[in-house]
Order: sequence, then C-alpha cells, then structure tokens
Amino acid sequence: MSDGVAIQCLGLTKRFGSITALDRLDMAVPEGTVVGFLGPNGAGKTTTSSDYWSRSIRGGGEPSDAVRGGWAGTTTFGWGGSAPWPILPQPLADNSVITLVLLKKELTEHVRTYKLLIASVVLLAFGMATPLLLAYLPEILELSGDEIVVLVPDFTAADAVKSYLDSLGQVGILTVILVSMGSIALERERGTAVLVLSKPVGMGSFVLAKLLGLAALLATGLMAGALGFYWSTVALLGAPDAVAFVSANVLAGLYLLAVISVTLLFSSIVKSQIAAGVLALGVVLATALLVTIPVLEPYLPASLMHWAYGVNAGTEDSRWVALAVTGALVVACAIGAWRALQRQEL
Amino acid sequence: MAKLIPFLTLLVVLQVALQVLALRDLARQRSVTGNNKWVWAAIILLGGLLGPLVYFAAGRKE
Repeated sequence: MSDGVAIQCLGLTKRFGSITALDRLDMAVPEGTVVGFLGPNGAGKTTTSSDYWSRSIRGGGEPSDAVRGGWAGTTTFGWGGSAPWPILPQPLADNSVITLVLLKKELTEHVRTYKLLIASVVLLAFGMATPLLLAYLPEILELSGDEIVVLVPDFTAADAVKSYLDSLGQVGILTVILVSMGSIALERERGTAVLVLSKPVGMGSFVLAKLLGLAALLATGLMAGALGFYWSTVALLGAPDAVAFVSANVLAGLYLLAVISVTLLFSSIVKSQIAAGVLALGVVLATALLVTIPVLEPYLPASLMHWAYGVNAGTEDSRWVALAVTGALVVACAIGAWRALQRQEL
Repeated sequence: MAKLIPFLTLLVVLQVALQVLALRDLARQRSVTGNNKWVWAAIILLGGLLGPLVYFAAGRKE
C-alpha cells in the first residue's frame, strides 16, 4: 500500500453460468477514505465485495493477481493498521458458523412455507388415528355383520405400534419426499441459490445446512406423530413399552433420513422438483423390492424398518450393517449433491 | 364408542384446519404450478390430510 491505495482490483470478472455478473471491473479506493458503494438490486455490489474477499482468502492471505490491495487503512470497514490484505474476523471465516447461519435460514423457510407445520400435523393425525382403527375395528365389524367378529382378536398396544410403523413406511416416506424434493431444485430454479452462493459461502455448507434443516423437520414431525400416537394409544389400548417405542421411532427416523438424503441428491441434479420427487420415490420403491431378497436384506437401509418391527415385537433382530450403510449413504448423498452443484456452476 | 368421539373430533378439526389454511393460501397466490387453481383446490379438498401437504410442497410457486 505504498502508493496509498487501500482497495484495488483490475479486470475483476465473475460469471454465474451464462450471466456475467462482473465484467472486467477496475476499481481503486485511496487509503483513509470513506466510500459508498451504491447500485440497484442485482447490480453486483455483493458479488464485487464477496469475490474480492474470496480471492483474497483463497490465496492464503496473498491477494491474487486479479485483486491487489486490501481493506487496510480504510475507515469504511474499520480495518486499521497496516495489514496489506484483508484479515477476516475469525468467526466469519469459520465454515461451521456459516453452516449455522444457513441452517437458521432453512428453519425459517420451513416455518414460513408451512412445511414444518403441515408435515407435523399430518404425522400427528396419522399417529393419533392408528390406535382408533385397531381399538374399534371389532365394533365396526360388529355393525356390519355377526360371524366375523369372532375372528378379530383384541388388539394390543404392540399391534398399534406395528401399525404405526406401517404408516411411517408409507405416509412418512411420502411426507419426507414431498418436503425435501424442492429443497435445492427450487432454489436453483428461482435463482436464489446464486444469491446465497455468491456470498462467500461454501457449497458444502449450503448442502449441509439443507440436510440438517430437513433432519430437524423430520425430528419435529416424528415427535408430533409419536406424541399423537402415544396419547391415543394409552387412552384406548393401554401404554406401549416406552423404550421399545422410542427405539423403533429412532430406527424409522434414520431410514427416513436416508430417504431425505436421496431426495436431496436428486434435487441437486435434476431441474424440476417434481422429477426429483418421482426419482426419489422410484428409488425407495425399488429398494422396497430389493429388501425382500434375503441376500441383500441385511445391507439395505430399508431393513432398519425390520429392525424397528423387531424391537417392538421384543425380538433381538438387529441390523448393524444396514445402520452403517445408512450412515454412509447419507454422507455419500450429501457429498454427491455438493459435487453436482459444483459442476453446474449455477 | 364414547371414548372415540374426542379423538375423531380432533382428527376432523385438524384436517379441516389444514384444508382451510391451504385454500386460503391458494386464493392469495398470483400463480400456481400448472396455472390451474381449480385443480389445486380439488387436490386440497379431496386429498384428505395429504392434499394440503401436496399443495404446500408442489403447488406454491413463491
């Protein structure tokens, strides 16, 4: 900064796919000056500063050829001293903080778009309805005839849990696919992903925040469903084994998390959210067929549901390998989505 | 059967509440996926509990 220039860039260019956001920008800001940076929405103010930041950071502290200078000495940003290149306050450079900020945005979106509310109410209602059917099936049948009644056994709380797990395997899967299919696809379609990603935010943080946000939505929905189920089951059929019920829910939840991550992967690859949803449903249905093959069964995430049924029935029927595969699948899908986004360059 | 009534009532209330929420939102949207609000109204009304879920997931453009 011997020449008294605090910020300087020469020929700064930034493209998002076919859009050229910055076209050979030359700019110089003298040391010790206050500069306003004005422009209408979309003019490229943020892109200019974030691209400047990211180049300065990625260069390991040394500004790259395209960008020379630093914020040093500018009163605008409050960086005093004589550092020749920008020194970011630590938290801003920290990926986990960025992920947390994005996660907060995700959660706000889930609330604002009613997805959290609707998914929770749907699971709550299905949870509540399950024991109703079982408790009153004998009486309902009684209304329709006579002989059949003898064949209907009295249902227990464990039967209700089994029936609830059936619902999670159907309505639960549909619900999580519906809420996650647009997760990335919609943001790309509307161009909001560009807004987020043009800030100095890694795509890894972007995908991770999506996954965590959906996992939080899933956990909330499952809790609502479990509470609805537990409440009406206790009232109508007696209390189910609490530990077994919670464990079965956790296992079903992990399986649903795998469904979410597969949906998220498709959402990052295909343009339309409907296509992403259909593809994810196709994969789930295909594995539902594959899991009937005994050789494959212990390895597929879908067999976590079998484990859940086993826990409820009181049989020691664990699927640790499937659990490990599920974990690996979730990680693989997240990495896949991240790579897919990187390739597309938005 | 008497025990059943509060649960059934709550289920009906929950479903109707979701449907009303979805229909109200549908009326406020300028445009929806497929550009046909009547189809979405039918999905919400006939789709039971899942109707509003499908609408909020796929129907809204905004």
